[in-house]
Amino acid sequence: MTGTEHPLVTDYLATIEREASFLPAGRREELLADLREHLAVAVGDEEDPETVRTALERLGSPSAIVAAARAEEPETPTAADAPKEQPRTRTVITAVLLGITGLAGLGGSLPAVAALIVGLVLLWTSDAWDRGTKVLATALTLATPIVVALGGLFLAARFGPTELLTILVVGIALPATAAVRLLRTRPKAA
Amino acid sequence: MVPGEARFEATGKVASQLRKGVLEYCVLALLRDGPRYGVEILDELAAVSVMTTSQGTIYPLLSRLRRDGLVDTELRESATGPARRYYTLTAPGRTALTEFADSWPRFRDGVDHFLTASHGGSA
Repeated sequence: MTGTEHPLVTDYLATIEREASFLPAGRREELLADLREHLAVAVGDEEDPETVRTALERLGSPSAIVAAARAEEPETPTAADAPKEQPRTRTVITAVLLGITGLAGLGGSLPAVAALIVGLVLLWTSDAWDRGTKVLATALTLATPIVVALGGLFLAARFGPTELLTILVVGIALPATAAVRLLRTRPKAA
Repeated sequence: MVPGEARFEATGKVASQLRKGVLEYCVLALLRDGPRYGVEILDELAAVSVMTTSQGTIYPLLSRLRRDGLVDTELRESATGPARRYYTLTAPGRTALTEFADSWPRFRDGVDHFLTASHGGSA
């Protein structure tokens, strides 16, 4: 029998294992392995209960060791405290859908309207942006159809390449700005 | 158990608060001149009474230092007994130790300043 198989030692380690149940399994195993190694050196093949008891006393009470292990654990916010962070993919999809509404408008109104509707739904059902950002992004995105419509209405008489270009640039740039804005917004802190 | 133990317990809270901040640097300092194994580190710390109450509490600390990359471990066979885990100071560990060694005297002097000087005003 080696020192680490002494009943006093196995009891001691079992107590620590039980009290350290909150530790991740890997960390708990590591702690027990460290203590087992320590006792193997400190007790050796000694079987005298007094020697074993002294070694255990010097090591300290299981609760003191477990408390130290708890103190060394990084503070992991519990699920309830952690701000619910939106998956990055959803942020990107929302921003891209809204961002391309201007461009998609060139390809036909159906894809643009679809992108606009889905994008706006994703935007407004998300917790990742505050209300102000949502309103701004919506306004910038909706500006495109409005700019195009107004452009068509008022400039129809003298609709030259310059006017067309202006409307295109503005119509594409505004939703793109909204997209950049959405992507850059840091997740709302809880 | 030992006379004076009770008095030590009474100051336990202050001691444990202070220990929390400096213990890991004492461990790093012990490794400055070469690798040591666990029991050796614990004995060195235990030789200075304020540094440890129960030796076993050092193992979670050593585990964190290893996770943080300040020390490295290596299991070495021993001629006389079971294999021993040796702790070595890494380069980041040495940097951390140097930083602590640089700030400690200023910190200590700062505390002494408040503890010893009379702050009655026009003294």
